[in-house]
Amino acid sequence: MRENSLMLPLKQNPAGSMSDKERVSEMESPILSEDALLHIFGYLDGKSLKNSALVCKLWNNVISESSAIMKNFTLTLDDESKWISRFHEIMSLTRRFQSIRITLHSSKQPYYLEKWTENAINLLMRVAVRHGPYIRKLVLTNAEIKNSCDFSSILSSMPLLNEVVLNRVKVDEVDDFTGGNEALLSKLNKLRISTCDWDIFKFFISTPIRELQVSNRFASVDIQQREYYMPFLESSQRLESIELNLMSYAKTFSISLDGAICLKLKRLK
Amino acid sequence: MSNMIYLQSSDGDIFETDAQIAKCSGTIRFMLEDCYMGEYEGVLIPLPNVNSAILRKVLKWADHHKDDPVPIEDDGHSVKQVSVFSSWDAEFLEVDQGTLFGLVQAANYLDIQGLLDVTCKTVANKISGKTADDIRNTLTTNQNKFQDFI
Repeated sequence: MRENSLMLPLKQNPAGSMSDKERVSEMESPILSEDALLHIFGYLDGKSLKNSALVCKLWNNVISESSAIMKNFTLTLDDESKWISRFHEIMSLTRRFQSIRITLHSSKQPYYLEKWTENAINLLMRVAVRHGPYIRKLVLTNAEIKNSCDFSSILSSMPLLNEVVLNRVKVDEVDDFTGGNEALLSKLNKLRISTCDWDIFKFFISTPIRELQVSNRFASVDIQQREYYMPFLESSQRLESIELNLMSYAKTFSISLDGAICLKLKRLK
Repeated sequence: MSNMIYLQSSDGDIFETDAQIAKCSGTIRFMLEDCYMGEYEGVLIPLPNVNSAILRKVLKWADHHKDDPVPIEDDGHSVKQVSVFSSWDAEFLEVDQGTLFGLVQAANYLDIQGLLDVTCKTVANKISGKTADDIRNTLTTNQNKFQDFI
């Protein structure tokens, strides 16, 4: 009985003499609003999205103006994208992001002055768990690794990770991380490091990296720092190329290298 | 206990419905709980953006899904998987394109997440894997709609 009351209007509008079916077609397909389009585009893969951008001007605008989220399948978490205030939106996105770009804070401040709050780290973890499974590329900029566990659990939420780019990443000295990321990073292929602490290498020991690019701004490499990258070089069985952007490193590397590693480097060149 | 309320479509038709069912709409829920402070027995809510045909469909969907568990919000794992359509939903969405788009718009306006998910997924399936020309041909019988394409 309620079925009836649900489906039938109690009172017909006097003007509504035609059937509902006619009314719908008379509407000439309601134009989808930008909100609705955004939602729909969230289900498309890259190629379909590209084609959709060519359908009409409105669609093109919606796709190209919908911030970094739609473009390139990159999820951007930085101050400018105000990601913390958009946290719930980010969590509800259905897009399968292929890369994630995390920036601790804008580059206006020296990177060691600001830190992410506990809350931000927690939110970041949840984003990583939510979107990590499809991520192939991680770009981390202006960060400080206070806690290896946090960093490792971010990595472990991204099993398909193929490329890691680290810019200005500081590693806390008291951190006594002892390795063990190789199981998490079984697909890692490429590592680019620029202006990071040398201890960053300890996170990548025994990973199957083929390509390494280093452009650290700090020119000097002392013996202590050798301890960090030597085990990395020794353990990187799959390494095929090393690109060093400052010549002084080549010297530092070759001086400090011995035996097998020297041979390995020669083979690489 | 059932609390009946009335919804008025853009065409002026009035639909009687159970408040609990109507509350699957975030927009209506907000009105009932915040504007009427819970005292909403018999109130009339005008919905100027939804016509009768669409509102009837929406109510049918809401009635069918009235006992669905409330989706738990993002703790990372319980994000609602919409890739699995119930056969009821699939059949429900076998409609002409005008109705489908109308449902998307209504779900968006009324803030009915479940309906928005299934309808948008259905539209996305129509778009997916097609060239721009094919999309235009598929999504419109009326070429004028995309005429602003450069």
